[in-house]
Amino acid sequence: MSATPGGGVRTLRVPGRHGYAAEFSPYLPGRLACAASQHYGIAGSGTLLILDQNESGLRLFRSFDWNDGLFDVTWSENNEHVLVTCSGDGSLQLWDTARATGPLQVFKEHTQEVYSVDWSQTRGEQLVVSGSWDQTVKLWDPTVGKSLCTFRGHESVIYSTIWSPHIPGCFASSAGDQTLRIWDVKTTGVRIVVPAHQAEILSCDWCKYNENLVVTGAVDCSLRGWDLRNVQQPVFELLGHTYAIRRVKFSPFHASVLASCSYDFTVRFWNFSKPDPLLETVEHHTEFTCGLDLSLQSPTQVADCAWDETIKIYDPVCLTMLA
Amino acid sequence: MEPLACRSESGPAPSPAESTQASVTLAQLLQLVQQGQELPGLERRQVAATLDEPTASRLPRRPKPWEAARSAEHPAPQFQTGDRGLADPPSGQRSRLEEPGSAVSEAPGPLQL
Repeated sequence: MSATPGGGVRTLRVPGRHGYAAEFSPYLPGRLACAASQHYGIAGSGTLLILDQNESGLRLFRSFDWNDGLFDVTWSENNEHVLVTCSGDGSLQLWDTARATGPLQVFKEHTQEVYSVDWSQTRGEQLVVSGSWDQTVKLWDPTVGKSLCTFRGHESVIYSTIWSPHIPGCFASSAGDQTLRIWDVKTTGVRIVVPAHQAEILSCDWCKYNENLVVTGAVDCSLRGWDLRNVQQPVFELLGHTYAIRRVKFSPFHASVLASCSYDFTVRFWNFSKPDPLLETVEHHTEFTCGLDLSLQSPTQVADCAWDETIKIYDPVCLTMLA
Repeated sequence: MEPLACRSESGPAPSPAESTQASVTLAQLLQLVQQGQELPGLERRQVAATLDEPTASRLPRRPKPWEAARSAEHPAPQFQTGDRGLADPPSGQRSRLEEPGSAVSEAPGPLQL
């Protein structure tokens, strides 16, 4: 593996591993977790990569192998060492970065690939939600071996499950059934169903500064914003990507800024409050770009990963101009 | 597309030191799978949970950037159950040979890359 030094884009190349998800640690500035798979996630093993930034670039701090591909990763919100991944074999894994081997725990209930995992963001809870191709969402307490609850309703594979950063016990999901659904852990039935696109919806995220606003990213190449108080039509639509949108994230620092990555190999930055919302297009990957995260400590720093076997951390110009 | 058994049934994988990390393209890989051939350098693992306790946390939770902007909790909004009309859903069957988003409402066809 090699790291490219210098200001600008910092790259780590991981031969034989195709990155699916990247997440900055909420505790340690410059620490990044990446869920990756062998053979594009079709077959073979998976690897959880823990990266640290230093003055000369990106360094691999530790890696952990799993028996099947890893498709998503989420950091604990109450322990800087702990994170959770989810896998093609239907299981979730709990890891400890301070230990050389792992995982600590394996949670096996889903009957098909688990594509999404997220640790709750609100202060009063420590919960994990997982979304699977078996069309169910499961709720977990990471200290308990069995799931707390299973949510049924989606009519196709689930791609994304994301906790609200504001509303305790509330999470969103997006699926191949072309809907965005909003759930509440206090009831097993869905609260809101939004027929958000006429295509599979691969990603969704919550606005960090407006608790009613959720964005979806779909195979139709569009991003749409939804006000949950009135889901009859989107409050914004962002066009520009030329292939399916694989992941979308709202900025932790700017209320109307978001980032998206795509099978068109690009990462794009948007400000939906502007008449010309596309801020910048970053084209530094040569394959499907699947993982994307925005730093919680630096208003300008972004991480991404792609099927070209690279993980990159960088500061796009448009975010440095906003800071 | 019918889910295909992708795993090699032959002997153990070579150790990392000796395995060749074949830079197989996705298209080549899919062709190998569809022809029922072994994937090069397929790694097989027998990882299991250690059941150890997590290392104790020593750092305080950091506030999120958006938490600094809000002073107090306020009640959750009233959800309105909107129009529940759904577009015709796809069959919901998929295998990992189809990259996400390749499913279409009609009968599944060849993978669109």
